[in-house]
Amino acid sequence: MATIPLLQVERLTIGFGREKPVVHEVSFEVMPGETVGIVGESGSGKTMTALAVLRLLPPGGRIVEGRILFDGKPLHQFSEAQMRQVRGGDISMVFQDPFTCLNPVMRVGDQVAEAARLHRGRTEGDPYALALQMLRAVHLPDPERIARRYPHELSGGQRQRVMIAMAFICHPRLLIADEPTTALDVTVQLQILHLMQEIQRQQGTAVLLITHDLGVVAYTCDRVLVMHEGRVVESGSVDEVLERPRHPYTRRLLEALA
Amino acid sequence: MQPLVEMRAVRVYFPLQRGEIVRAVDGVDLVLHPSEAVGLVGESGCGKSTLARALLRLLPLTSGEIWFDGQPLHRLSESEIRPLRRQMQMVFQDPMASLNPRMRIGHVLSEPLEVHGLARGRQAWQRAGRLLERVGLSADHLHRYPHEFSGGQRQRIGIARAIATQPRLLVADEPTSALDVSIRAQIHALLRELQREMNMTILFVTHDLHAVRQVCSRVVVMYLGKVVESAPVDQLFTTPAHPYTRALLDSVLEPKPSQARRPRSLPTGDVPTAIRVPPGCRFHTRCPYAQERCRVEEPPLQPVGEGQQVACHYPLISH
Ligand SMILES: Nc1ncnc2c1ncn2[C@@H]1O[C@H](COP(=O)(O)OP(=O)(O)O)[C@@H](O)[C@H]1O
Ligand SMILES: Nc1ncnc2c1ncn2[C@@H]1O[C@H](COP(=O)(O)OP(=O)(O)O)[C@@H](O)[C@H]1O
Ligand code: SF4
Ligand SMILES: [Mg+2]
Ligand SMILES: [Mg+2]
Repeated sequence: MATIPLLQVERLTIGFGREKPVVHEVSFEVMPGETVGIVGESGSGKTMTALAVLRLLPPGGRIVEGRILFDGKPLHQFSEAQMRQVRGGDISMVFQDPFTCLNPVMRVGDQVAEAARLHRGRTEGDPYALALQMLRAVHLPDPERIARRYPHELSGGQRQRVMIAMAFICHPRLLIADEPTTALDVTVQLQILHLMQEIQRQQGTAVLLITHDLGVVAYTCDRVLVMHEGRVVESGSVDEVLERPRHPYTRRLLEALA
Repeated sequence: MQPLVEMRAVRVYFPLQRGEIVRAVDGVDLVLHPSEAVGLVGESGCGKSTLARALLRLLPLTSGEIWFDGQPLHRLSESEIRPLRRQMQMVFQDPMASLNPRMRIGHVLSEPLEVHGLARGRQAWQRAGRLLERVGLSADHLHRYPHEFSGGQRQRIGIARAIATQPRLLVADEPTSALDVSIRAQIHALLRELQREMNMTILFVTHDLHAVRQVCSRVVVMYLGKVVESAPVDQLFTTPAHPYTRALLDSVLEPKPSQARRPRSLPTGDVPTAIRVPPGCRFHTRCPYAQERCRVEEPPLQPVGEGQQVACHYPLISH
């Protein structure tokens, strides 16, 4: 029996007003438990693709064409109320800058607990106890103490761990991570990638990982799409694409790192 | 050979409110030889930019000495330094911040020539055109404004401006960190070429080890305000002596899956802040090899092998 894709994006085209589309006929699939990377230089349309899946495009941006199926269901036709159930539930996200998602005046323990409270059906037990358990699972030292701190009182690495705790607390089936380690120190970046993989394996989560860094793709992904100017120029298994690139653009990216 | 730059026990502290002190640069000795391209690497916040700015006397020293071509920069007044400025120039990460948006590129480039009395009027303008061509742009661009250029082109203009006065020392602080990889590599090649052609000394500040390989012949590694290792580039990559250098190298993810999945030794935890610097060896809180001695005794920078120096009680290689 063939497994059906968890996420299926078909000919996704995204535009702002009458301008020419910023994402053009992008198609890809993510299978359950799989890690798929989208890689490309800045402005290539990676973030817009991810935001379209979450239906969080910035004002003016819209899906001009295409379908987004999650577990067979048409996300592109969902109402905002339906999407609110999906976000943080079946699909959760981690962004480059934790400050954009963390509330600066709320203690981090309460914020992680709030994520569980929003999707009560998916979790069991007291949300705060669950939050502490999650903060421990992301290897934060002394989770009880960290839980009482505000976001600005944590280091960059600690904040990203909190984000990961929040993202995984409801056992999502898909995690969308947009440049999750780009803002971190290099020696901390790998710790965070390991942590994401560890919890991903425990929970069987699929990951859509967005990055400009081919090294991060090589290290973490099963398959990859290379984007350039809003289009997918090459895709395949990581071994295929990065060891034997076919498209000149992919070759150029790799040569720049030689 | 007489060094071009010699920094001795340089400290730059920033006092904060509540009596706290940021020990941004905390006792650095550094020698730059003529025509040498040296990479200064380390994670963000380790003091690279502060050291670079202190070297050019753009920041006051808390203590220590800086000698430039035999002259004591640390003792000179601003007016005594001014004539030396044409010999020491800087390139910044964001060239727009250093380019006046309302000045045509021709003026941006002829200004330093006029300020230092090297050329004026039409002659300066012509030299500006040649500078543009030298950095891969065209003399036709002289009449344009900074915003009309892409990120990579602006950085070329920043470099053209810095080399206008034919400096002996070029300090480049993360000049390519904001650029995409393919453009980055082109700027690195340009810097390398200019360095050879003009016999410049370059201090190339970056957190990107790849960049160092493309530009430099020697690398200096900083951690929390101190130099922990210095070595020729190839040697540093093949036989790092400091556990932190090893960790930095192990953090680099190669774009080939076969290499990316090699075993790595990584430090635990985050980098401590420069306000509460650990006693003894400042890496001991994260070092997998730390011993009791490391917690109390600060290791001095000392030679291990040809041209290599390390500040560690138990270096990964010995003489
Ligand atoms: N709010 C917006 N209005 C108009 N264009 C936008 C907006 N946000 C992004 N874009 C454009 O969409 C393109 C793709 O952007 P993005 O997906 O953020 O790129 P990436 O994440 O690959 O760096 C870019 O050319 C960008 O200028
Ligand atoms: N003007 C300043 N006032 C207070 N702290 C500063 C100032 N400039 C830099 N610092 C601090 O000094 C340390 C070193 O900073 P910096 O030299 O910019 O590091 P790097 O360039 O290696 O990222 C950091 O902890 C930084 O926050
Ligand atoms: S001195 Fe000790 S703690 Fe410091 S790097 Fe060397 S072994 Fe590690
Ligand atoms: Mg993006
Ligand atoms: Mg800096």
